Amino acid sequence: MGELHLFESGAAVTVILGLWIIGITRVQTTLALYGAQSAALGLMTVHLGVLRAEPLLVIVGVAVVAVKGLFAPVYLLIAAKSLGCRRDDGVSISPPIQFFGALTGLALILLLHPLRAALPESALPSVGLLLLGMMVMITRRLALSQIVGFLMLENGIFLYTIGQPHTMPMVVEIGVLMDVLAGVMLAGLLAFKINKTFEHIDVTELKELRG
Amino acid sequence: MTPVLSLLPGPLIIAALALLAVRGRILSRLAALVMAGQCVAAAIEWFPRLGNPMDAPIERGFGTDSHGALFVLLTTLVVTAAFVHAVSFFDREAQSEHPPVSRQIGQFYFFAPLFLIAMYAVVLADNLGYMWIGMEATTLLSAPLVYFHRSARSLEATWKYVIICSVGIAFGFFGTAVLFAASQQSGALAQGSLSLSALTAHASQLPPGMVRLAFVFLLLGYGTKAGLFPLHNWLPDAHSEAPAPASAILSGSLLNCALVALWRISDLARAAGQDLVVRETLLPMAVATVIAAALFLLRQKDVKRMLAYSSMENVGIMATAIGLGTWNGFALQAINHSLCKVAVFLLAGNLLQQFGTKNIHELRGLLRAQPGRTMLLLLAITAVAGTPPFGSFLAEWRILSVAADGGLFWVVAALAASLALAFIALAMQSLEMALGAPPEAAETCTRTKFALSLVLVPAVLLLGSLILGTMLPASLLALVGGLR
Repeated sequence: MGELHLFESGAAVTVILGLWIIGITRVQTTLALYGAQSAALGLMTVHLGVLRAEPLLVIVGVAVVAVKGLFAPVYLLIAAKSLGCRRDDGVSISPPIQFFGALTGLALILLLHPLRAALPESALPSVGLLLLGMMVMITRRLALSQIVGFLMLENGIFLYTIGQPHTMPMVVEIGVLMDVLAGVMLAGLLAFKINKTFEHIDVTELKELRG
Repeated sequence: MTPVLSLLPGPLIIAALALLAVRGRILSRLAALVMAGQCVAAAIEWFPRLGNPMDAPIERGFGTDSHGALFVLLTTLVVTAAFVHAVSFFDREAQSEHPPVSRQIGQFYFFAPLFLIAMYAVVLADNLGYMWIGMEATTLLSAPLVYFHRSARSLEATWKYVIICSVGIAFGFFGTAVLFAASQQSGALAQGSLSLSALTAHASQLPPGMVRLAFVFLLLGYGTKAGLFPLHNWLPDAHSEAPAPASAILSGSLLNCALVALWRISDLARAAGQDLVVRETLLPMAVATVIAAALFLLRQKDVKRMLAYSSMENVGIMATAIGLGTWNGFALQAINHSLCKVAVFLLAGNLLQQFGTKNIHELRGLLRAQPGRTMLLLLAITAVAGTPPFGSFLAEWRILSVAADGGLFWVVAALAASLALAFIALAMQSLEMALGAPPEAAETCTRTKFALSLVLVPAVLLLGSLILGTMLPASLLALVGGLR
């Protein structure tokens, strides 16, 4: 499989998984899909590393699979289970309708290709994934779903970086991954505290601090 | 030991002491002592570097230029002041109704020094990737400080802080990635580079469209962390819910770090011939920040939120300086704001601790209850508001005159009006607290003893700002490039 072909199919898989996340309400499925998306990204990175004969890229890919494909979703799944949250029905618009909205949005991005001067066609899937992540963050109620939205957004940026002919220095990639790891753990802890203090984890209900 | 590495032992020792579970009272004293040592060591190592050129040697991705040196010194000074003050703050907190358990204090002293290291990384980074990692690390490491009180309000503030800043900074990473991609399309850096100095040196070869896109995303990222309008939502919450020493560090140094990052990327955009994108995005956002902060200041009922909005106002002024491209305006304003705002947060923190409320309408007669410290607080607030003879006045004057020279009269008008409005709001609200008869409960407070450091630290900081405002030392003048 050629490098371009590999990147294209990898990008397609991740965007489709992202779209799928938009359309569902079950928290467990969301987390599993996020894990699959990250694992796909990580495996694609490993494959790219092999094709380009860059051992460092293989290491980054393995780390992505381990941290974002396995650790983060499992950690959040355990959190979801002990917090007893199963569904996130979203704010005002129901997820199935959001799904069609997101699909239309992605199609428009592909057709109109905004910022042509700065973003080549190969960068569009990552922009799409970034926007899908934003959408999850805006439209969900639960603290856990917000974390997933942030992680999807971050996957979009990662997809952009590995789409370049040269990937970022490994120190930076690993540093970013460590920040994400620490961020997920911290946010998960905070979700627990929110549940304990407010007896729910609906972040739209956090509105004591105003003005 | 290299200059960058020499910054590490001090904070690491404090974190280690906290990990070893040294008890609260001893821990806070040891930490203040180590931090004072760190301050002296940093001054010896970094003061001479204030004269370094911008192409000073780079050590594993961290630069030693004059800009970084200035902010290393300022950050160290702010954190030292906060730590020295924290000794008596935590002592008094231990006597309050809900004394913090020693684990809370241990966590403060574990995370605060690591947070300091992350701030050093941001201001010294020559590598955009390291700068990003440092910036995200500052959020994660300061979140436990914001959550110090373990209350519902502090939890809400912490959640907002972590989520909003992480998402913002994620956009900043996208900007970083776009610049990295741009560098691969230039001839000289085909392997790709994240080094600011390398990118600046070859700026003319970078594709302009990509530089503009990257700038906008970087502005969103670091602008969120700086609290630029409309990305400021988290700032008043986090700064007001944190305990006083942490508020002082957040306001006095963390905001500066984000602004230094903004300065560096604006500099890069200008080097690439994209002045226009800086003028059209950063400048309006900065001016809007000043206006919004002044309006919010008018209707504050909570002392610490009031101070947080005043920080936001100052961020707007500094960001305006960055948008105008005046380093000395930015640097002077940053130094003065840090000195005065830290003094204000520390003084106010102790007064609020004694009176047991943060509500402006419940605070009365501070002047009669605590004359010395209240006078100092009022002076500090006037200094923060940019009144002569304090240094902020000169800095703001400088920024306004640069804007006027550039023919940007809308900036001058909006800034001057907002500054006046903010001054009125701050003056009215602080006088409301200072004057009148103190409530019954406060009478007992007057007799309680307080440590000398409670007055000494803020007084020294204020004196610094006064010196800057009245007799700018020649060496400092040279460092900020002369006051034209």
